[in-house]
Amino acid sequence: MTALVTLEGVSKSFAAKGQLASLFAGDTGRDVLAVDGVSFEIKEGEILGLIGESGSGKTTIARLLLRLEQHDAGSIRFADGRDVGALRGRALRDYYRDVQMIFQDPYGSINPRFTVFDTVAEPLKTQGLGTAAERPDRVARALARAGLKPVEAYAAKYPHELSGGERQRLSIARALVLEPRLLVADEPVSMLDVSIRASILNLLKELAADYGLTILYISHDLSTTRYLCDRIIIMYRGRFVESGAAGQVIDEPAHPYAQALKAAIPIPDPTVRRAHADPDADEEAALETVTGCRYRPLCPKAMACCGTSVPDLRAIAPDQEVACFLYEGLSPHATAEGDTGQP
Amino acid sequence: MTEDLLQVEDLSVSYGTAEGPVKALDRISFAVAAGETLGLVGESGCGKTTAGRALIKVMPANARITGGTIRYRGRDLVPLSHEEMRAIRWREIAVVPQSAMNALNPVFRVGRQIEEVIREHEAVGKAKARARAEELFNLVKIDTARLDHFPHQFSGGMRQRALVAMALALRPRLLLADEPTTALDVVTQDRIFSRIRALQRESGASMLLITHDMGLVAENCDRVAVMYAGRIVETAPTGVLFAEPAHPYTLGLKNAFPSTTRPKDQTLIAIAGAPPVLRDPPAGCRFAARCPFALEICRREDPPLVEVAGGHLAACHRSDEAPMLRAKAADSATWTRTAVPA
Repeated sequence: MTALVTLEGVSKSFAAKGQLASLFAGDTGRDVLAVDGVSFEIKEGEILGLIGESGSGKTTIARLLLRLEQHDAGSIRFADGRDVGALRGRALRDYYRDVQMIFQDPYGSINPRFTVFDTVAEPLKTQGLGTAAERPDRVARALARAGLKPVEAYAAKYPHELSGGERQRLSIARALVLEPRLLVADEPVSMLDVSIRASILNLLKELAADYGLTILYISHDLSTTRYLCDRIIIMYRGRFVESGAAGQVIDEPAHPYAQALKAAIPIPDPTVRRAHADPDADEEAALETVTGCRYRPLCPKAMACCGTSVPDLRAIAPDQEVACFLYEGLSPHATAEGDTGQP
Repeated sequence: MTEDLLQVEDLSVSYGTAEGPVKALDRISFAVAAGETLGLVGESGCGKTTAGRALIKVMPANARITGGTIRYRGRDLVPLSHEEMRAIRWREIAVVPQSAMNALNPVFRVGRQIEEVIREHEAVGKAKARARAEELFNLVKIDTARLDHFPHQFSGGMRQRALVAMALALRPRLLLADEPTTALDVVTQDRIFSRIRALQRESGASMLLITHDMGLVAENCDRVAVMYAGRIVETAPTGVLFAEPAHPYTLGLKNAFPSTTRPKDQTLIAIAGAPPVLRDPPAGCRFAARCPFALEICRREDPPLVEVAGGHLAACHRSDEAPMLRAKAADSATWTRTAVPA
């Protein structure tokens, strides 16, 4: 598979809040490095999952891809060589034909005064696509693909007449009407109820399988990601800690953070017993700013080298890469496990 | 034989709206025994949060209890005055709220907020309240120096722990936890629940856990009550509910719930449609419109909650056919049809 989008060494930092806010927050005015030199590809036709807890930088990556933010360093290139960071005006507008987004909140991201038809027709108008006579067909096609069928039954409805699942289908239809190549989906099911969530996940799967749509799925939830995605990347505080085939990484995580994440998920089967997190684990440590590996303060396997250098992603299996010195057999820094790693 | 700490019977709650009353809870009944954890599960709008709030009678201004009883240690809370309820809240029934961010006052130090709760309900001096707050922080494993910090100086996990500490401040017999960890990442959630379970074991308190997460239910609850559209549709010991669910809605939930332990290629099956609007609920079973097993009678007559086995109740006209329904529910084709004939 060829790469649809390639990110290389992409970083983004945000200035610490204004003076008054930082006074209250007690911070020293340092910039927050939300994304720290990440490189990856989104391959044509795949569903790639980007996983992390809040603050890990996953949504920032989505916003950079959509040019809602501008990256500070590195490059983001689309398949045909377009430099996403350099797009302006008309070129940027054209880019949004290829890259569309759906959001977490199907209530807040739709104009309540627009009918279903108008909501989906709007992007065609802004993009100046199709004649007024052609548009109804394109809208109907998008609605049908998003599962709002029969189309006639939905076209004249208003958002408040739709259920949560139907509203999320509407935002998917609005994205699909431009026939984009990449769909960025930021937590698209986290606000939906369980019984409806499955139908949206299945719809995304169908869109990838039937129309070759490439999807970047951003989530904090390992179980939906495992179900939906071909490949996944796990982020921790702005960096990638592990990536690979979804089944491989989630079933047999290698990075200590990925292992902790997996181990903490409650299992919906009362006959299964799992080891629970230590309720007394030190949460102060998670707030520390650190040099070296950012997971070091919480890592049960941290070594001396973890405090001085940053591990890079390296392959440990055909479908699995991990950024952890534990797997760097040849590292001259490697010491015995259990060393707390104070430099 | 009432060893139940809490007994809710036929409780109904309505919200007054411009378009007429919305029956958020329609004659729900459940009980929580001493030391037991009951899970109240269901989707948004099913009434689970309303049920929790009704128990402590902290409800929005337009909400009204329209019927039923809430017996706590034998005494009905429904007719109690605001003042009488104050003596019950915190001291007897304490709440671990959903959002730690909003539940703490940002302008006061956390320790002071805990001390205030203690002093408001117990005739103790400042020093005693402080000592008790320190004891509570030790219990939830937060450095006591942090009592003098403001909420924003805490991490999300620490704030939630502080709220658990606050809920335990007056040694309540019943903890009411409404999605207590939704705002937290899973690792922190796991720690908070480990801590809550440990504290519960020590104190013998009961818990009503309100959640949509079947994983949390499986791991924390002794019994479960499943809610749908303002009703309890099924209740059973946790093991039984997961192994032998009888109500089609529960069967559907089980199919739809993703898990890292199920085969990756096993298709999740959605339940088509959406819950009914409670302003104008349909006649008959409220799940009938989405139920692949619905019969003529289901659209006409409301099924009562009846026992299908010891301690296992379901509100379904076809609950005596449960083994057959379970077998058919596992097939995704079942859920694309609207009704499966008998």
